[in-house]
Amino acid sequence: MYIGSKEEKSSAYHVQDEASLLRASLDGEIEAWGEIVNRYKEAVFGLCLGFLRNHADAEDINHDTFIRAYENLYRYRVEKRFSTWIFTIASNLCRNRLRYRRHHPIAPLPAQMEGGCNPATTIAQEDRQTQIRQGLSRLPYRYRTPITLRYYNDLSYHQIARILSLPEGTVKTHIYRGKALLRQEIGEMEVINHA
Amino acid sequence: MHEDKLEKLLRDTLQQEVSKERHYLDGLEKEIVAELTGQLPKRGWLQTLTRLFAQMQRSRRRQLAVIGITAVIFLFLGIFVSERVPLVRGLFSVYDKQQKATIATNSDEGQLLFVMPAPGAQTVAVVGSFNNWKPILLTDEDKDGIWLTNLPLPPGRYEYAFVVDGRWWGQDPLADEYVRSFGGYNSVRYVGYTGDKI
Amino acid sequence: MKELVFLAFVAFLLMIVPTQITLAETTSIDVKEELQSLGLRSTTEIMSAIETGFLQGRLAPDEMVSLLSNLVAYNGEREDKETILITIARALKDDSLPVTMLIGKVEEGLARKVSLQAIKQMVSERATLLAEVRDLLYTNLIFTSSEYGQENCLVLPLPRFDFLVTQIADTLANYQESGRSPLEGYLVYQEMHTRLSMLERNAIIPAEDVELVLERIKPESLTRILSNILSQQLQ
Repeated sequence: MYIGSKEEKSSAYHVQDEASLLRASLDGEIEAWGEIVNRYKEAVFGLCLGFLRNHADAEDINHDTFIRAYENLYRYRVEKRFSTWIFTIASNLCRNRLRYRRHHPIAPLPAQMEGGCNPATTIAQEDRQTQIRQGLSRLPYRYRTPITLRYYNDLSYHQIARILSLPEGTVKTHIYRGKALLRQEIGEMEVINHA
Repeated sequence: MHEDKLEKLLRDTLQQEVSKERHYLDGLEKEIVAELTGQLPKRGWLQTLTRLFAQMQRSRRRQLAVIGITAVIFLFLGIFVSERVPLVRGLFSVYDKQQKATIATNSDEGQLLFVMPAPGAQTVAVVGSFNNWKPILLTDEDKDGIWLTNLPLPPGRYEYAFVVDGRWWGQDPLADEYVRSFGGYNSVRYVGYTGDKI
Repeated sequence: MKELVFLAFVAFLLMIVPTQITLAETTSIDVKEELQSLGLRSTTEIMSAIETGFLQGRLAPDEMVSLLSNLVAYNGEREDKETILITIARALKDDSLPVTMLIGKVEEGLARKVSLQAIKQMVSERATLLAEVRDLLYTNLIFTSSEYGQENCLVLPLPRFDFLVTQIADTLANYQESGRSPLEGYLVYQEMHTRLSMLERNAIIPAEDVELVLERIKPESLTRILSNILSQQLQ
């Protein structure tokens, strides 16, 4: 394939498969890495937001993940799943940031989302989502992380176990307990609302 | 709440959160590319070498081959230099003396000899990280005031102290190093695989 | 041929696993009994963490029985004993840290007959150091594998990773306890260099692990960790 101007190259990267993009990145084609960032930024950001529960930290860690991943790309085995690798980096950087935050706390995500309503959701749905957001922010970190990976990033228990360096059984237990706590939270809120 | 409903709610909530914050991600790839482009030095010989070595790290066989060949090269180089350069020969002989001194102090590989001069003491024990700081009694069979014991220990780093009639002594002259602990001293010795065999 | 070797290995595992389970069950009961004799409020939480430690291979039943029986016998406030055990339990279960160093320090403190307050303080600081060092390794992309032997270029097996974390944290703790300034980053780095080199010289850790750490960890990171500990102490 003829690769011409920068714009032509960029559009060419959009159609390339992941393995080709990674090989190109390793060969020094930074634009190829830009396409990887484009494809994964939302997934990694969602992971960070779910783990850390504040968008400033999530932004930072999202950014750092892609920089660090590129700097260490030559250590990555192309035949292994890239998503697991990049999510592992993000997960560990999040843990590091959380430890820092214990000594330098900032305000978490607001329970009520600002910026206008989505007309597709009803008021009841919005209330429930608020409850879930509050509940997630209150969940212990060890429950919140696998729940985010499962229900935002749609990963299997096996993949989550690899990313978090936990046994698969523990991942399932943590998800089960986290959901039980959330269910309790929503149940309690329902009792309060109906009181 | 039913399990499926909760799972759907979780998915929707997490998606919604990210959707609301999506604008933060606009242009991230350009930002990352710009930062990396600014950071990257021109690829010189050092980077090429590092990259080659990192690629080699993926193959255990290649790694071992490189280590083996390097070891052989340096072995022959060492022999060649030591045979021909009197100063180096002299240095090696000093090193040999030091090895022998260590050997004279310590016992066989995997054993650590503890020696405490304490004439007139009633009991002398050694306590250390090798056994959760439980006292192990030393003996002075010939009653010359030098108390000894020989402990078989696996390779590792060990902190210890002597307890002479209930009093802790943390600065053993035979120690490799000393550390402060709880306001006192501990001695440190290493037991290695390289060992002290003659 | 490979299949035969694999089958032989599986057969061997099948032989030894039941024995290990039997042994583990026996001593886990001993641990539970010793813990219960302390009469703490957080017995369940602590026991849960201990069991996690056994499963991960980070704790040995006999070392726990020894620690608990020494604590039972030691003269001191129950609340202090509870705080010490909770600190270790949380470090193990919540923060997933290697806690052998913490247990060793408690045993040493009890053997030296120091106050439980001093032991509590020491354990708390060292737990923080362990976490900071572990996070420092993560930040520098030195990770650990899962118990199921994940292969990844950036990963060390758990025992090697734990050992590095422990040795580096212990070095920093010794440096801090010696009263030297945390701002002398190059001195702290030198201490870490010396420790790792001694371990490597005695073939206790592989040279590649030492190189990995010395290449990636900078003196300023160590200064930051020690400064954080110091500012926590002053609060």
